Amino acid sequence: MTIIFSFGIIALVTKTLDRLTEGETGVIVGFDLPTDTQIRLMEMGFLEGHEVTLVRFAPLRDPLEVDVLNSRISIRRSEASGIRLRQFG
Amino acid sequence: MESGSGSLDKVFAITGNPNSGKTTIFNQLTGLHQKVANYPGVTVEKVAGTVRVNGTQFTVIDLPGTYSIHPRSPEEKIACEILCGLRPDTPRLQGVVCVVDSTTLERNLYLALQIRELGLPMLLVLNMADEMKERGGAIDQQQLAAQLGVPVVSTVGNRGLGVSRIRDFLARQAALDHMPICVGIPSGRPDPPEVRDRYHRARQIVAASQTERLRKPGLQDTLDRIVTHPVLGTALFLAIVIVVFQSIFSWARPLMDGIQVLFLWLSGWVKAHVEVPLLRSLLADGVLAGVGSVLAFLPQIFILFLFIALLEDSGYMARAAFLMDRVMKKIGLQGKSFLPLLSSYACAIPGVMACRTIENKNDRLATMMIAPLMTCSARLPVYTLLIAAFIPQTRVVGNLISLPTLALLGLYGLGFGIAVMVASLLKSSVLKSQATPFILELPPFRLPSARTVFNTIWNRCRFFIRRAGTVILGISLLLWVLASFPNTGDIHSSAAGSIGRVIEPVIRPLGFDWRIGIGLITSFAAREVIVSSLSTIYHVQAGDTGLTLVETVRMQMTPLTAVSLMVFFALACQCISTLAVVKRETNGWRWPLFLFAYMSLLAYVCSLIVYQGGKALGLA
Repeated sequence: MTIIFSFGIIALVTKTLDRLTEGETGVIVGFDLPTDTQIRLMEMGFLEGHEVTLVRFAPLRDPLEVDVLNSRISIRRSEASGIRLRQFG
Repeated sequence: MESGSGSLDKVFAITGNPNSGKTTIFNQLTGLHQKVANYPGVTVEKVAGTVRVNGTQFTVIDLPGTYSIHPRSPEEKIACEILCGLRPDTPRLQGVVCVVDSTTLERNLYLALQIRELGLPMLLVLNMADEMKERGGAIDQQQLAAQLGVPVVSTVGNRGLGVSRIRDFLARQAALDHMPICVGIPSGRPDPPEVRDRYHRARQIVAASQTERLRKPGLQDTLDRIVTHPVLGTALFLAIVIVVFQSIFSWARPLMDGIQVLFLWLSGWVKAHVEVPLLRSLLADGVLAGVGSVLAFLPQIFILFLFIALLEDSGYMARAAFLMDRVMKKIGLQGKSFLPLLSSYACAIPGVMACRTIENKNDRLATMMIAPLMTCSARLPVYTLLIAAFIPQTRVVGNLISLPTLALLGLYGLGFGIAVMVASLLKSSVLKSQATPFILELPPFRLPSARTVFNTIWNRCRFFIRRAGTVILGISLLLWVLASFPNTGDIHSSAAGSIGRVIEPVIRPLGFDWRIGIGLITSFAAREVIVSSLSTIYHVQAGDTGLTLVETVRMQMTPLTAVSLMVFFALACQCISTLAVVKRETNGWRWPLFLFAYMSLLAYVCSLIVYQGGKALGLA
């Protein structure tokens, strides 16, 4: 987890989607995934600048249910860990 | 021919995201005038139907539901090729109907924008308009049409509202003389900026045309929370699983028995009224037995697909996959593999057919390849006979469980254990899926439309009878010929008998003699047939000894042979119907042949180990 201080006023926290707690929201800032996977996700609405909410984890904490563009998408932890988010903290 | 049927060469396509209600709209347009087939060379299903408007008919193709038409997956490739007029088996399109879910307009517009870029005449259908209104949303249709540059209609698919305006669009486009041309063909490799630009445009359009934003659906959230809850959700899942399993395992029984009784009665009638012995036998034991064995699968297929349609269309299936994914991932499969595998415990035929709900091709094939290892109900009569003959009714494990029950559980476990190993092996070698991650939309819960559920079942049953049924009937007739010729009234001197003796040296190391060999051959029609075959063979051999089959089997086989035979039945693909269905579902001979080869080899090796190992230990 990286902590960036910009102008010393707002603390911007970046973390990956799988690190959110249930109900938490973040804004996508980038991907660390194979291009094909990244484009699949982008076409489903996982785009830089879009808000995503982690709705819940499946019983064994994998996969995850995510809210993006008003629809619910299930992705596995392995993909979620490649989606970087910005959060206001 | 009806007037105007010449317009059938005017072809339209319906496209849209999965869960957009595209198929419901298609069903509303075409009713029962549908044809289901496979596109040549791929496992994607082709659904086309006929629409009548004012006495004129057109063809409408229901394209596979996709989020994009960049041709990467087989579904996207088919959609893209048909839209662009690149398939020699499909005429160029007169127009496209793009169905979008009004409640997730922005995401759905991505595909709509892609299709608009093709330059074909297009109609945008704002489906689920009622749901959007209930959630306080509103879309300015004129503004949306102006922004997109295509006509827009709003519909409530499951109640048929607004569908007549889609018909108007089709009629209008079909009346045009010129053939529209597709101007842009999407490449297989979209780049991120392209995706970003299109979503940027979608956001602008939504900003301009969506006058009221949607509220979060409160009830949906509660339902979702319950259904995916670690305790409640799992309990509900198990309950549904038990109901589905119970229904195909036992509720289908009366219907299946009814069909069997009907055919027994028919063959009895034939036997009483047909004079020529050969014709009598052909009709009674060949044709009627064959048709009966095809129809006997129908109740299970009907019931399973009733559940599948209800679970899919209500939005539950995606949640079940969400719950089961972690467990199934362990063996290299995914959440959606669960239901087909479970169904295969009743019968592999509907199980293999249910695999089509798995979008990922490699996961689908791997599931299909292990489904026949699940202990289907046709194995039970074989197990029951052999266990009754050789396993003593002793209670073990502190009087809790009887030895026969334990043996039966062991056989279920054997099939399952081997299936897990085969799945891991396949998924780490030939069926490794690389670039297609498990991404699954969890659609809102919706009441399934009776029409869509009915159409799903109707299409499945028809598809099974027409495509798989013909093969099953053919093979049944072939087996009848083998067991009846040369015609001496004795199975021993028939072709099946000869084959039994020819293969005896091969099966001898497993502890099987030529009589079991005949049973193995005839059981290709259906596993349980070996029971009646053995009864015929032993009866013929021993004359009328007045012994029951269980007692005869006990005299004719050693316990070790019986165990070896049970292991063989647990693992071998002794079922021509399964192979026929796998051939139909995979659209080729490669996978059914592979299935047959690997299961036979597995069964042979395991039986060999059991028999030879047992003999070495002095258990014969």
